[in-house]
Order: sequence, then C-alpha cells, then structure tokens
Amino acid sequence: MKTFFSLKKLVAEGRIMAPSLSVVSFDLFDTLLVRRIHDPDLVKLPVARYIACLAGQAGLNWSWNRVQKLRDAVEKEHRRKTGEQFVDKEACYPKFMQETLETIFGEKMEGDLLQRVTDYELAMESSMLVPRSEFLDWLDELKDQGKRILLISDIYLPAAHLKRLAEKTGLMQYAEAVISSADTFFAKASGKAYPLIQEKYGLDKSSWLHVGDNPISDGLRPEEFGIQALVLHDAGEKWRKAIVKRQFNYGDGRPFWRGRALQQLMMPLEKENSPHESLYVEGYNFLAPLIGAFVQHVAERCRQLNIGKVFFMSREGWTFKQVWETVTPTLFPDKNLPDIEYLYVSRMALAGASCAYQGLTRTNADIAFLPSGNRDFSDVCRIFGLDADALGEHLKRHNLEADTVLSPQHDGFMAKNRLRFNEMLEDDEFQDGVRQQVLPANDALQLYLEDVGFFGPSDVALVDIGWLGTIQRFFYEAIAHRDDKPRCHGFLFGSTRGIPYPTTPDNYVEGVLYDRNCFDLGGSTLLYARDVFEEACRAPHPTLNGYRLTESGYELEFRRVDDATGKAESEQDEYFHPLQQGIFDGAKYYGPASALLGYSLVDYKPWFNYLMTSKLAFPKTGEVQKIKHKHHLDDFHGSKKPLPIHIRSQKHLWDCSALSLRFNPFLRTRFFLRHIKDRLKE
Amino acid sequence: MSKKVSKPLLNSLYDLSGNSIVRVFRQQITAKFIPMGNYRGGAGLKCLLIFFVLHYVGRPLFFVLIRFERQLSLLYKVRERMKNGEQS
Repeated sequence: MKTFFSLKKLVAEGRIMAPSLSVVSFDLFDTLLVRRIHDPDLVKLPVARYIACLAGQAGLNWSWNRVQKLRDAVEKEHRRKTGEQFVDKEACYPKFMQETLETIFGEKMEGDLLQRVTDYELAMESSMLVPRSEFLDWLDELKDQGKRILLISDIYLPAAHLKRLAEKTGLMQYAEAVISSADTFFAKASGKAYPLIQEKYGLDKSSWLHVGDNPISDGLRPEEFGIQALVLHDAGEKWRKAIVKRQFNYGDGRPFWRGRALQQLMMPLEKENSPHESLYVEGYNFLAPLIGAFVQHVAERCRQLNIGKVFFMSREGWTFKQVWETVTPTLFPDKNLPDIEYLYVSRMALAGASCAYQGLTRTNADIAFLPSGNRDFSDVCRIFGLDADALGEHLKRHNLEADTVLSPQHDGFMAKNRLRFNEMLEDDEFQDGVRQQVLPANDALQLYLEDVGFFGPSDVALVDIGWLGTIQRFFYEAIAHRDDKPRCHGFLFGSTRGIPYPTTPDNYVEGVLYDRNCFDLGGSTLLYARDVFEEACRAPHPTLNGYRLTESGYELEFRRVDDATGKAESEQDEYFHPLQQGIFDGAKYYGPASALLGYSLVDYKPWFNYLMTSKLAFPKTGEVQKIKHKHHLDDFHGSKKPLPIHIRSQKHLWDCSALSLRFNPFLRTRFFLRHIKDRLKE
Repeated sequence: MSKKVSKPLLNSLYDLSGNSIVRVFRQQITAKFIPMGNYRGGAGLKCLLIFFVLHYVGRPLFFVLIRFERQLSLLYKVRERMKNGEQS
C-alpha cells in the first residue's frame, strides 16, 4: 500500500503501474468524486425538509428535525440487524427510507413517494458532486489502454443509485460496473467485498490496482487480499474542506457568514472552475446570489399568500423568470408553487392605458416630470401617448403652449405655468379629451391580459426590478375599473419610493433587497448603480411602446431597433452578455446550495449588505470601469437638457472618471457619508 | 485583439474572485468607524483572522498537517474530552 498526499503524485504512480494492470478499481466518494460540502450527512437535511413538507401537505405534524432523527434511528437499526448476519454493519437506502416514510405517513403513504424522495436525494447528492479532473484524464488513458475499470463504494445507496450519480458526473463512460455494499452487505471495510468482486467479474488479483482514500478499506484490506493499493490523503482537499466547514459552522453563531457559505457552495470546482472574463465573474459572484435570493424570497411569499400566478414584468422580469425556473425545482421540490408568466409591459406602454378611466392625474403628471429630461407638455404627451395638437384648445384655454416649461429643472420655468397646468388637470373637458385618446390602448391591454390569464386567480404577484413601482402603479390604474381584477402583490428587487405608492390591501409593493420604508443602509447602496441592475437583467427584446387594437384583437407594439437608440441598446446587450450568463450559471448552483443550507434571504442579508456596500459604494476602479453601462436608454426620460445646477447635483460615485476613482483620496468615503446623510434626511 | 482578462470564479486560495477575505477584512474594519449597514454582529475578528490564515497559509499548513493526521486526531480527541469534561 502506498500513501500519497497529492493527487498528481498518485496519478503519476498509477501511470507507471498501468502497463502491468488489467483492472483498476476506484473508490467513488472523496476519491473520484469530491463533494462541495465538507460533511456528506448535510445532504440529508434538505431531504428531511422535503419529507416534512410533504407530511405537512398530508396533514401530518412532522418537523424536519424529527424526520431526520427518525431516519437516523431507522438506519441505525437496519445497520444493527445487518451486523447480526454480516461482518459489516451496512444499510440499504430503499429499505430504511421505505420504513421511515411508512412510519411518518402510515396509511397516507402514496405509491410513488419513495421514488420521489429518492429522486430528490439523488438530485441533491448529484448537485454536490464533482469529478476530480486529474482522475478524469487518467481514466481516459486507462480506457484507451483497454483496462477494466470498476467503481466501488461502501455506502447505503445501492449500485443502481450510484450508477445514476456516476452517469451525471460522466464517470459511466469509463466504468464497467458500479458496486455498492448496500446490495450485498459485503463491504470494503471488512475486506469481504474484494473476493466477491473478484469472483463476480473474474478478476486477476495480480494485475488489479485499487485506489481510494481510506487507509483501512482502500489500503490495508485490498493489500491483505493481495491487491495493490494506492491511498490518497489529499492535502488540498483537506484545506478546501476546512474552509467550507468553518464558513458553514460560523454561520450558526454569526449570520454574516451564512451568505458567504452560500457563495462557497455555489462555487465550481475542478474542471468546472475554468477561467472566465471579468464581467462573467461579476455576474456569478456578485449578482447571481442577490437575484437568486430575491427569487427565493418571492417564491416563499407566494406560498405564504396563496398567490395563484406570478407575472414577471418586462424587461428585467425576463431574467427573474429564468432564475425562478432554475432555482425553484430544487428549493421547493413539493412543487407547491404558482404558475408563472412573462408579461410585456413598460412605463411608456402602460402610462397611456392608465388614463383611460381616471384621466391624467396630478400624481402621474408629477411622475412624468421626475426625470430631468422632461420639460413641457409635449413630454407629457410622449409619455402618456397623447396627441398634443388635439389637446391644443385645452392648452390655449389655460394660457399654455405645448412647449411651455413646466419643470423647475429647466430654464424658463415659471411657477404660474405649473399652476395653470395643474388647473388644466382639473378641467373635465381636458380629461374627457385624454380619456378618449387612450381608451383604445386600454382596451387592447385588457384583451392582452385576458389572453395571458391575468383575471383568473384572486391573487397575483407582479415581479419587477423597481424602483418607484411606477409600472405597477400605471398597471393597476389601467385595470382598477374591473370587478374581476385580482389582488396585486408587488415584489420589487429594490423599492426607492420617490413618490409614495398608493398602497391598499389589494395593491401594494414590497422592496425585497431594499425598501425605503425600512431603514437599511447596506441595502440602500443599490441606489449607487440602479442602472447596472437594470442593464444586467434586461431581456433581449426591445421595449414595449404600447398596446394597439387590431381587427383580429390586439397587437403589442415594440420599439424599433434600427435607429441610433436601438443600435446602442443592442451594443449594450452584447457587452453585458457575459454578465447575464454569469447570473444564469450562478443560479444553477444557487438552488442546491440554498436548499442544503436551509436558509432564506433574511439569513443571507448581512452578507448581502456587505456585498452591496463593498461592490457598489466602495468598488475598485476596475470594477466600475467594467460593470458600468455604456448606454442606458430610456424613452421615459426625455432628452431635454436641464439647468447645469441640476446636472451637477445628480453626480454619483459611479459617474466619476477612472482617474478620480483611482487617485482622489477618500472619494468613496465622502460619497458614502453624503449617502448616509441623504438616507437620514429621507 | 480584445484585452479581456480571464480568471476563475474560485481562485487558487479557495477564495472568491473579486471578493477576497482581505476585502471583507478591510470593509469590516472600516465599519468600525463609519456605519455601513446591518451585518447582524458582523464577521467577528477571530473568524476573520482564522479565514485569513486558512486562505493564505492553508496550503503549506495542510501540506504539513496531513502527514500527522493520525497523531493530530488523537490530540483533537483529548481536547474534545477536556471540553466535555468542563461542560459536565
């Protein structure tokens, strides 16, 4: 028996020995495959949670801790009974899990329950397993040399289950067979497995090499039987697991480390951990955990509130929907989740439709003048889809022109004109004119919403990135006249509430990562670079301009893509593609990692607060240069130039030059102190 | 030719690329002087030091320790026993 403290040296020795070998057997776990988590028993916990959840649905009161305790007790009893007949005290998963489930569910046990639980356990196991890259290369060579390759494991999972895991990790293309102690109760630990395998597969002991990590089972026992053995004591793996173990354990007492443990479990290992460009790394290591936790929180709230359908609002909702589809199957294996739908909406498209019954309200007009690029009534008309010429007589009646400056951020503003404008909003004739113009757009919207099944459920969730909740505000106003409108629960990635949202029990918004209604300094750093989040999550289709009635029903009108704005947007999308890919790839690992930890957003929030403060308020110069968008285009914002004083007052850290970011002392601290002041003044 | 920098997500110290333990350390120190948000108790100086050592000295440390694993496990057992004895 030879012991190696490095995988490279073991494989090098194996290669030297290879010519004299006809068969090489490998231990599976912690040798050919490594786990992302330090303790394999932790994989059992999400399964216990799943069983407890199913028991709850069947009306049985079982906590996951109680389920886990029972499973351990049943397994222990099975091992004890096996020990009466065999040297090795082994257990077989299908048998002890069947007994566990029967004890919990009794008469309520469904026929396919064991299969469903097994599938979930194997999926969780599989998500935590990674093949060692050096071994894969060696296996390739052994296969080419015509060697017989066997995978052997002392574990409670039978060979059929191990085969599924080996197939997922790509090992079955090399292996002739997978052998588990759970099938025969002859294990490597006692050495009884080796003669059995020799007989079954007709192996020659003298040309058989066994490789494993246990000095007894994989070293001493095969040697006693006359097989050559190589034992791996991998210092690198020991080091990696020591880190994960502490991140996991410290999270118990210090919630700060929970999010860090989540990120460590999301990390790719071995060959998965290939180099990627910086934007991809930012997408994976910064945005993916935030968006994953946001989606997990929305799903949890939907389950609490019995929401029937979730509508992801375009265009950022496109990314949230993809992440939802990726993370929820692992996080909520009981599938007790609402239906989902992607909804084509935009502020521009909904603004007009929102006026069809209530007219143009003063609050909505104020929202139009929030962006500094909007100056006069023609901007109001552009946003709300109104024909300024047709409303000209109303303007004249109130001594206004289409280009009269109505925003205090522009040169030529006079308060009396704004007062006249406000008076016009109270003019019934003007409002009738507005309603008449936008009614077809509202009718088309109703047809679209009926088409996507919006009016079916009594409660729906509207998921969007943020910030004021304008989309949901306009949206709800556009459907408020209907008796069959559902209760609208809005979930925003960040809620800045610049203009108070008209909250009612039937229509409200909730900021998930940040809500201005709850003082949260860490979360508020989202305000540093809101555009980055928008750009990173944006769908690869142009924005919606409006809803139009047609002879056959309705049509969605998208913005043209061939003009300068459209082309700049395509260029931006292409630039951010790696960032978005990083988010999607990160989401694949977020589900299993979070399911294993059993945590929610509230647990990860301290780490996320650090992450956001660090990346947004105290970013490295290179990070700002990379992540900062090149073009952020929004038709809602208008293109008129405000007074210089208003341009200056809007300068943010992320607008500073690379030179300033790199050399200006305490620049970030000064911006952060200003940020704290602003938050305290809110 | 584009000058795109490529790096793995997990660096060779088993730390996050672009968000290393040094950055956490620095930020937690700054948070002692400026309010930076709710960290629910924060990272803890002891934890930070342990992680710093693990990430930066872990490779040579485990290269040596793994060779004395059997002896060390005996020490760990003695320590556990002492801890349990203190508790009881």
